[in-house]
Amino acid sequence: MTKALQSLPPKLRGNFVLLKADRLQLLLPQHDVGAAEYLDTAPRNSGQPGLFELDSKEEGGATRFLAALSTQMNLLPQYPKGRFLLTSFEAQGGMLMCWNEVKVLIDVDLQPQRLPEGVLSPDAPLREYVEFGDELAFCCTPQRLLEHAFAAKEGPA
Amino acid sequence: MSALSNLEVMDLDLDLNPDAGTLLPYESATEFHTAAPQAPAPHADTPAAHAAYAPAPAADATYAPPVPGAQAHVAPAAVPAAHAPHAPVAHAAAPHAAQIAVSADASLPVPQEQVTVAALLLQYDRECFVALPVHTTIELLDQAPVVEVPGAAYYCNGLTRWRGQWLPVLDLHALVNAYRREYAPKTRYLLIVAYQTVPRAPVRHGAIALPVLPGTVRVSDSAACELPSDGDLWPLLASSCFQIKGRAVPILDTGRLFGQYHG
Repeated sequence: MTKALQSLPPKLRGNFVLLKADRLQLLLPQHDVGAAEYLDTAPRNSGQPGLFELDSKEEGGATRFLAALSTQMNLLPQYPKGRFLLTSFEAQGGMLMCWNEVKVLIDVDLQPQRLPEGVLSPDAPLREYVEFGDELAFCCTPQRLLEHAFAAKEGPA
Repeated sequence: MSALSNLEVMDLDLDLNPDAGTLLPYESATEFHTAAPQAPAPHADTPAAHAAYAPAPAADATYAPPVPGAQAHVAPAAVPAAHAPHAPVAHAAAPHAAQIAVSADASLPVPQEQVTVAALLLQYDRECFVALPVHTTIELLDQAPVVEVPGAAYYCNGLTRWRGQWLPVLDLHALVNAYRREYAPKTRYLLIVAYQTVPRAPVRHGAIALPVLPGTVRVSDSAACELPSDGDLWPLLASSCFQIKGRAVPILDTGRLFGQYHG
């Protein structure tokens, strides 16, 4: 029993954000995620696959870029329905991501579990998950999320 | 290379209740047997040891393919309702059974007195089969939900929830062929298997996605053959191989299958 407990990853304590994109659920530290905002205008295609444009909220402000994730954490070529919530990742140049649902979890104490080693490639972006009832959310960071999403976009496919 | 000894003498030291654990979900023509040994095997490679794992005498060494309309069931004790949010196979008609080309008359050339043991025969592609020792197989789920895992290995369909655990779901076709088909057939069934990465390690579980119901086959050492030469991974995945109607059927080692990355 003690050995089993020792093999678990360290607990996650503090504030986290649960981001849902269709069946994909990600758990990120709250300090890595900017404030959520509603999407009030339809985004435009930017001309770059997987990237969409939004006008700045401030007059004369720079155009903002927006991306939508698939359940495999890849960039979607078409803007999906139902993604009305946006979050930004300031440390990654203010890139916006759209979600179906955003929940802030205040002062939580979560026990992550390791994903089975046999199915993870050496460069897998996700290594742990947290259970929420019958569902699970993958623990992630903005850096890993964006690296995976844009690496797939730039790949041979 | 002994087909029997690799079916029977695995490192799995499963501590399963015969009434609730090592069951196999068929009856009549596709009957499975509880695989828990009735007595300790005296010598691993002797027929007596093999027989200890073969509760039913093999009167006729045959492969019993799933038949259209066959009813499959899981013993109630195996799936407590509280731990089975998705229904296990319950009276599920076997789809595509006719596609399994190994027919019931494909009797193995086994003399009456020769010991045979049961193995589970899995079809992962048209005319492509692998086998599993029955004592490594736990339960068959029908249409259980699978959660995709971003960035997982190409042969991993995702995770499925089973008895409070999230188990990896492997796609054998993708693994063996080293690519994932863009339009893969729907894998309706999930076969829950047990594995150990090293002897005496805790028993873990994983799931194998199957497009059709598995069948049973009785195997003897006389059917042993070399691993197929159509894939580099066979030596890494299989502990042995036997031949049935001219086809080599690798016997998978579940510890190797789930215990390491095969990228």
